[in-house]
Amino acid sequence: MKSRTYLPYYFIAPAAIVIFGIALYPILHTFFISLHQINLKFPDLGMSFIWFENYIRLFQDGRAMGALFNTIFFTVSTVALELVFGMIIAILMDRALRFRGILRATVLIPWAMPTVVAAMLWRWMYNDQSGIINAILYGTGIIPEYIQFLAEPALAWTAVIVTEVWKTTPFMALLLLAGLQVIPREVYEASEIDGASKVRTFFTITLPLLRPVLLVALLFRTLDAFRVFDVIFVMTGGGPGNATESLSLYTYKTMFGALDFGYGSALSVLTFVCVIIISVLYIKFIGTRGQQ
Amino acid sequence: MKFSGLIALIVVYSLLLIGCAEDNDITTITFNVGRDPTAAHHSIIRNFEEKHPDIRVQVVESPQDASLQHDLYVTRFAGKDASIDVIAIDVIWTAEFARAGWLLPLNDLVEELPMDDFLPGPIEACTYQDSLYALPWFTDAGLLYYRTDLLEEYGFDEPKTWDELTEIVSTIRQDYPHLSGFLIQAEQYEGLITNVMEFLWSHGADVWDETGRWRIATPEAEEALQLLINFIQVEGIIPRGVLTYQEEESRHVFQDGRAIFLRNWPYVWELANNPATGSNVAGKIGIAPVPGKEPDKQAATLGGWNLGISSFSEHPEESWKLIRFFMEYEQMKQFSIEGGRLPTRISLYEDPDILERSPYFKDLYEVFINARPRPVTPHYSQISDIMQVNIHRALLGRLSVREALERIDAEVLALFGRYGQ
Amino acid sequence: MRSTRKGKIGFGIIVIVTVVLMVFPFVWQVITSVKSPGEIFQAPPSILPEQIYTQNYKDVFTAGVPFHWYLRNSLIIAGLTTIVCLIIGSFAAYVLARFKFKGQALFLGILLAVAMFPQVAIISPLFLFFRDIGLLNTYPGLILPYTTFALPLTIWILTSFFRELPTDLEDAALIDGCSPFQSFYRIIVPLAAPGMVTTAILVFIFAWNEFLFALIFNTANHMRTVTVGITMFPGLHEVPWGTIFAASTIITLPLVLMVLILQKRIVQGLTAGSVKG
Repeated sequence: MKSRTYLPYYFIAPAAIVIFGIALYPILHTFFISLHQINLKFPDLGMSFIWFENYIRLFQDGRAMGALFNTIFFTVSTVALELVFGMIIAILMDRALRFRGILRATVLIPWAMPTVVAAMLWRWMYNDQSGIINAILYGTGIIPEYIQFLAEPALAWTAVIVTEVWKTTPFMALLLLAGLQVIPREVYEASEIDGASKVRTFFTITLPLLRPVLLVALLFRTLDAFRVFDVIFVMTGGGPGNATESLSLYTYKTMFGALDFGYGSALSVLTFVCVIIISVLYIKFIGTRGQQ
Repeated sequence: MKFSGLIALIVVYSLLLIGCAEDNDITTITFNVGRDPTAAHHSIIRNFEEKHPDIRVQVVESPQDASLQHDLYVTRFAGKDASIDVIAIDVIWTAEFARAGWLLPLNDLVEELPMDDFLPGPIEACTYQDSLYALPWFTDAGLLYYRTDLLEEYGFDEPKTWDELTEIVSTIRQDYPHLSGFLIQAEQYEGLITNVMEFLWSHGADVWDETGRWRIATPEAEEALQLLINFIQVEGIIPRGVLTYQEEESRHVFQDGRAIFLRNWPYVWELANNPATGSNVAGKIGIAPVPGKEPDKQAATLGGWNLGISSFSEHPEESWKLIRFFMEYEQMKQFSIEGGRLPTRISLYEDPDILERSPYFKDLYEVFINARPRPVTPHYSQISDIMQVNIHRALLGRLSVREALERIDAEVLALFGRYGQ
Repeated sequence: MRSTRKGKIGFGIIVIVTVVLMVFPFVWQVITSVKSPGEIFQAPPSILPEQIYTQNYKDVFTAGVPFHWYLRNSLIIAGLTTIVCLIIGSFAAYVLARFKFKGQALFLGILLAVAMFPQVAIISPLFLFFRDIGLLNTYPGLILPYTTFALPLTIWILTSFFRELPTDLEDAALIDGCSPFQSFYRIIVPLAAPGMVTTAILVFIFAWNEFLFALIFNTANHMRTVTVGITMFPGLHEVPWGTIFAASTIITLPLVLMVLILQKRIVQGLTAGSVKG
């Protein structure tokens, strides 16, 4: 049947039109701008084509490299923690009998809150005097005196990471739960008959079977974490001492603060390239369903 | 198919937009401003429309948060958007917007106004390369709030110098160790710079040298910053928590009764004196100028907002009429009384109605007339960013004061090297 | 499975700790939203409010901010985004799951690229584009970008769902003379309905919570959405925390309720959608 050859194209056409129509031009435009010197504050300097000068500047810019390092650190730690907690919660949801309903509903709450408000809420919970976290830790004797969480680079990082992990673990948990429920019960039973421990079963049976869903969950979480902006912007503004500045935050300050669109676009492309590299690594090492 | 439906939707909406054609005799201009809960400008605009039946003013409100407003306006101006006519801008953006060519110069127009009657600081902040690009709508200046009950208990007068403030805090805290001494705003954000500038100026330091060239690494600046760091790290005059504070965090600690001194804007006065806001210190607070190294060096950083006309406006004449209306004595008076804002015209500080509503205007007139703008340069937002990063590092103890100041100089000069001062 | 009494208790404790950790910040927000302005900033904070202070909730709707408009706009925009996204996305996901065709890998790659690009960079060109075609301050002006940036996730998830569905039924339908479109519409969509629900919630929450596009594109008050609406409460300096937390509770509750109502379907959806044939 000849019509079948074209059929897939009819089916993806609407999605392709929307994506090409809306997103492609701005993205290509950003690449184009990144090869120019252009600062909105100085219209008389015009827009001069400077090849890859913005990119060279980028690798000599300690702040950009620091932000890149921060972003990688943030992404690796949050995604790893989300994976662990997401997995635990997914297993709980998969196994729980009596608490199943309440567990599923409550676990999704953090994810339903607007990110900006969630970050404001946590910022305020970390407050050095009227913050509930200090009150609880002090009240239970865990800390001898109130802590200024957001005034200390290491603690500020911890605070930001905790907030992000709290906010986005539900996404991971939900997708992993889907993956877990695909696995037929018989597989576990067979494994138990063989005398394998539960831990061993998890690593030799469950994890490999979770691969496809793990890929989607990790991929999209990593893409998001790598572009982290709201949580850091609201909680620390990049502080203390610029210790928590992410690539997106630096890009934002460059574009909308300094109005340096050329360099800001180059920073965006750097983010983009990094995420592509990560995606390729994921797809290579975890495998993809797209190639099945 | 759904997609054709979508296109139909788009077409319908576009037609709707085109359909909103204007009446020929009436010109509509937009007034772009951050939302103000006091809504004081609304009645003034109604009066304006009554007086000018041929002009209609559409108020376009955005979130009050300055950085959100900045993003919004930058995007619109970058697109040469003609939908902005009159715009309210933060004092620190004025030079930047002027340099970008987004604001109309007002030099020829302002002759209609008694320019001698305006406060000098706000006018300086509206001036870029000897041209006026906006007019000051209302002003703001850093003030020192103190607990009158505590100071009276120990027989202290309001401090005029940093030494006096230190002495008062040390004495009172011997009996009240849980009280914070002095609260400022020192998170890594714009507010840090408003505080730091007051420390610099109050030590006779500045960011420009006598020839008008950038230079922050001076012995005076080093002394000023070192004092700030000692307050935080050594003497505990300023609690370490301020490294995470913006205006509101510090206000709440102060009005809950947990601090002796607070540096903040005038807005705190009415809130902290109103028990309905949850204040525990209503009637127990005083205001004074921020201290200096010597009594004659007291300095305040200028805040406030200006009104300008977009270069892309299709109705500059009508826009000017609106700005001029806001700048007239009567309207500025009404705005000050209804909105609690500080007027920018000198004569209003003697107006009996205004003094009745805000008696402290009289005592602090010296502060308002001497308030100084942060560096007026199109590079300001970047300079502020550079200062925030390096000074915050110094406050954390990760950089020495000298290193921090020298780095600021190096980075700012590199910036000037790239684009010109 | 062997399960001892001890194990059950331990398991129960883990569940309770998890629930408490996940839900506590939200509960704290609700508690704070019914505290008076003075009590919110007490140190140390009071665990339960001295009295229920409802003024914060009244202020959300009466403080001069038309919050009910914002709610309506967000509902319309997020709702339509979800519908458009699901329809367009399920078409694409169906062929990606069932067919091999030229450009498939390229399409998947472009999808990811769109999902990856920093939005700060594209807001400016997109603003110009939308202004020129008259989409600022309209519903489609937000629905279109939201659909664009939610499509990659939609398609990736739906593809994985569709792939798990048995092919026998479709084959039978094709033999019976159904067109591929009919077999998709009559067989795949109903089978995958639970999976679509999960995706719908994901997309809805994304659109409901988006901030940057909403701030820049819809500046007219009657077209504003709730997330931007919350930022309309603060004044020049003062931030009314109680009102903001009340507003945040108000806009989070519909989502929580929706999730509560649909939660059976979500988990079933993920399960049913992925039962191997």
